[in-house]
Amino acid sequence: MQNTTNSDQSDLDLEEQKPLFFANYSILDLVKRLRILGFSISLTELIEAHQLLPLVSDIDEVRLGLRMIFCRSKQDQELFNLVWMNFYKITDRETGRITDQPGLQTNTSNLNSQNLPATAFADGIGEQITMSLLKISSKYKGIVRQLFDGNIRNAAAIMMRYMLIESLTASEIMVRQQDIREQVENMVADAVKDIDPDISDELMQQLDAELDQIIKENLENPPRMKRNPLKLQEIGDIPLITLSPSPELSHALKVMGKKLASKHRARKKGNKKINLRQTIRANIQRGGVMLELRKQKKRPKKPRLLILTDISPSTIHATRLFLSIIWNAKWVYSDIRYFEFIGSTIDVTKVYRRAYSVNDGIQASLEAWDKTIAGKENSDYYLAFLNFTKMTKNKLSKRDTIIILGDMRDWLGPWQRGTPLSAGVMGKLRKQVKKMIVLNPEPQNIWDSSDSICKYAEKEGLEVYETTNLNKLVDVLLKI
Amino acid sequence: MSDSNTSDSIDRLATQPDLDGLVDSTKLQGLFEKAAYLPTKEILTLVKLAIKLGKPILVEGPPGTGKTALGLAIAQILATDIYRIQCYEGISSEQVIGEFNYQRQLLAIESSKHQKNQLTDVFTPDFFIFRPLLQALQSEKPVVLLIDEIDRSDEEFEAFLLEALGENQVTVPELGTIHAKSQPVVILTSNNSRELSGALRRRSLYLALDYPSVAREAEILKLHVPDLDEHLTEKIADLLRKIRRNENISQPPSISEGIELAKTIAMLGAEYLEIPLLNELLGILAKSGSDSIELRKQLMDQSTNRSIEPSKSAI
Repeated sequence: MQNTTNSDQSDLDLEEQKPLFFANYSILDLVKRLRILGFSISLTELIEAHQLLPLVSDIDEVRLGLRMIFCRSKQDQELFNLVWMNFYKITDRETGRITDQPGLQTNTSNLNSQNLPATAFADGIGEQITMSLLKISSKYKGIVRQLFDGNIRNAAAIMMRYMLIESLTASEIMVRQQDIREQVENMVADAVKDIDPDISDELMQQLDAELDQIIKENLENPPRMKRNPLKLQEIGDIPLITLSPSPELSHALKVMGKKLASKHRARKKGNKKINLRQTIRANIQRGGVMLELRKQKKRPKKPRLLILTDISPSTIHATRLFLSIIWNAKWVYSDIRYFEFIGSTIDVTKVYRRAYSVNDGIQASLEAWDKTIAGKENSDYYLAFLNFTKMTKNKLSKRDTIIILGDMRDWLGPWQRGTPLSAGVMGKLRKQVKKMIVLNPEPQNIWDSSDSICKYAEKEGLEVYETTNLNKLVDVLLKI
Repeated sequence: MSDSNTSDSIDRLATQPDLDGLVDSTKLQGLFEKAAYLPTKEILTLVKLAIKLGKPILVEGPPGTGKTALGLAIAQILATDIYRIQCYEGISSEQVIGEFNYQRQLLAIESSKHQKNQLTDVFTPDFFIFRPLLQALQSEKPVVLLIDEIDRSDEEFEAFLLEALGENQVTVPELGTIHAKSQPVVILTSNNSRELSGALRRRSLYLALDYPSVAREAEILKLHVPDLDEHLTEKIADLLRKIRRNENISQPPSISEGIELAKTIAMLGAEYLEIPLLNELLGILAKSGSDSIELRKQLMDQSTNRSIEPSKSAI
C-alpha cells in the first residue's frame, strides 16, 4: 500500500515537473544555443521535440529524447551534452540564485559548482567581491566581472577578443591566452580568497571549457567569413608555405573541398552499357518490339584512399591544408584511412573518425604520435614504409589508392648501390594497389637534389606531382 | 494509369503500432528482456519516440554492437513481421520496391490479341512484383522494416529512400504515389564506413551504439547464458574488453561472438578460463589468421603478466 502511495506521489511530482521543465527551459532557447554551434534544426524537429513530453518519465529521458532528435552523429551528441550541462540551470529572478530543479537529476558532475558565485551574491557576499574588484586596475577586469555574474560565455567571448587583438599567428594567440588567463586567475583568486578559495578553481574550469567551446565554434563557423571571404581565385596560385592559418583560409578550404566533391560526383561521359531492364520497360508499350534503347548511367567511381602524410616540420603546413580539403570532400570516397609518418608510421584513422573538425583531428593525431613514436622526428622513408607495409599486410587491393603527401626527402633511409631502399619498398606497395600518388609541396626544380628520392619513386611506378599551391593540389586530387 | 486512380486503389491508411504498454519504461524493458535484448535507457526512449513520432531510427556503430539485433528485438516486442533489406554496393530501387513482371506483361499482351476485350494497360499493380519496402508499406498491420548496412549502398539509393522514410510513400512512375497503409517502424543500421547524407540523418532519430561496458556485457551474457557461473561470466566480459582494446586486432569480437564463447564454455562445463581452453576456442573470437596469431600472443602476455592461480594458467 505504501508503495502505491509513493508511486502515486512520484507520478504527481513528475506531472508537475514536466510543464515546469518546458516553462522554465524553453526548447526554443536550447535550440537557439544548439544552432549557434552549427546544429541545423528544422521546424519539424522542433515540433517533434514538443511531442516528446507525454512519452518521457524523467528528465534524463528528456535529454536522451532531445539528443536523438537534434543530433546526427556521435560528435553532435558530445556537443549536445555540453550544451545541456550549461542549459540545465534556472535563475530564479526573485532571489538571484541559480538553482537546480528539485528532482531533475542529470549525470553532470560539476553541476553544483555552477551555482557557487550566484549563491555568494545572494548571501550578501557579492558586495564584498564588487568592492574587491573596484580596487583592481586591469583591462581584463570585465572578464572577471562577467565570471562573477555567472555569464561564463560572455567572459570567454571577451577573453577571446583580447586574444585575437594584435595576434597574427596561432602560436601568438596561445601565448596571449596563457598571459590573460594567468591575470584573470589572480584577480579571481584575490577576490574570493576570504570567501571560498575553491570558487576560483571552479570558475576557471568553467571559463576554460567555455573558451574551448568558442575556439571550436570559430574553427567550424568563422565569424568574420561573411565580411571578408577569401576568394578561391585569389589563393589558388599562392604558394602553400605562405598561406597562414586563419578562419578565412579554413572557410576557403571548406569551399574548395566541396567543389572537389562536386567535380568527383559529376558523371563522366563514355561508353555506356545497355540497361536491359529499362529497355524492356520502355518498349513493352509497343508489344515488346525493340525500338528504343536505354543505356545505363555510369556510376561514379568511389576510390578507397589510404592517405599517408608527412608530419615533419618542412611539410606539416602543406599536410594541414591538404587534409582540410580532403576532410570536406571525404564523403565522395568510399573509405579513407589516415596514416602519419616521419621516422615511423602510425595509423590515425580512428582519431580522425572521432574528430569534430579537421583541426581537431590533426591535433589529436599529433598527440597520438607523441605518445607512441616520440623521438623519431627525422624522415626515414625506408622504416616508415616498411612499417606501413606491415600494417597493411594482406589488406591492400586494386581498389585502393595510396596518396603520400611529403617532400620525398629521405634523410635517414639506407641506400644501396646508389639507390634508396625505400623506393623498393614503395615499388612493392605500388604493385598491390590501383594507384600510388605522391603530392610533393616542393617546387619541381629542386627535386632530385641531395636526399630526394623522387626519381627513384617514379621509376617504381609512383606518380609524383608538384603541389606547391592549392590549384595544383586540387588538380591532382581530381585525377584520383 | 492516372495518379488519382492509383490512390483510389491503394488505400491511404496510416495505422501506428500500439503504443499502450510501451510508454511504461519498466514494462518495455521487460519486453526487451523477453526478446533476449538488454536495452539501455537510451534505447527505451528511442523506441517509444520512434513509434510515437513515426520516424526512422538510424543506428550507427562498429560491427557486432547489436544494431541488427535491436531491429529483431523490436519486431519481437511488437509481435509483428520484420522485412529486411540487406544493402550492398549497387543495390537499386527496383530491388527494394519491386518491378513489373515483364514476362507476364508480354504474355498478357499476346493473349489479349486473340480476345475480344483488348488489354488496354499492362502497368497496373496486377503486373507488379512487390518487394520488401513496398510490402512493408502495404502491410495492414504495422511491421518492422530493417534496412541493414545502409552505408554500403550508393548515394543514389540513399536519396531514393528519403521519400519512403520521410513521407511513408513510394512513387513508381507508372503506378503513381503509393501511400503506406500502416506506419512501419524503420530501422537503418550503419557501420559508418562512409558518411551518410545530412538529409537521411535529418529524417531519422540518431542512436550511436558502441561496445558495452564490462558490467553491461556481463549482464548480456547472463541473460543469454544463465547457467554460466557469475564469476566466469565477468571474466569473459573482461577478456572481451581487453581484446577489443588491442589495436592490432583488425576485427574485434562482437557481442554475439562473446555470447557464443560463453555458451561453449558453459556447454563444456569449464570452471576457469584457462589458456589452453581459450586457445582451442580461438576460432570463435578471431576471424582471420593475423587476428588469431595476435590473440594467441595477447593471451600468452596476459597469463605471464598476471598472478595466476596455482597450477592453472587461467586468466
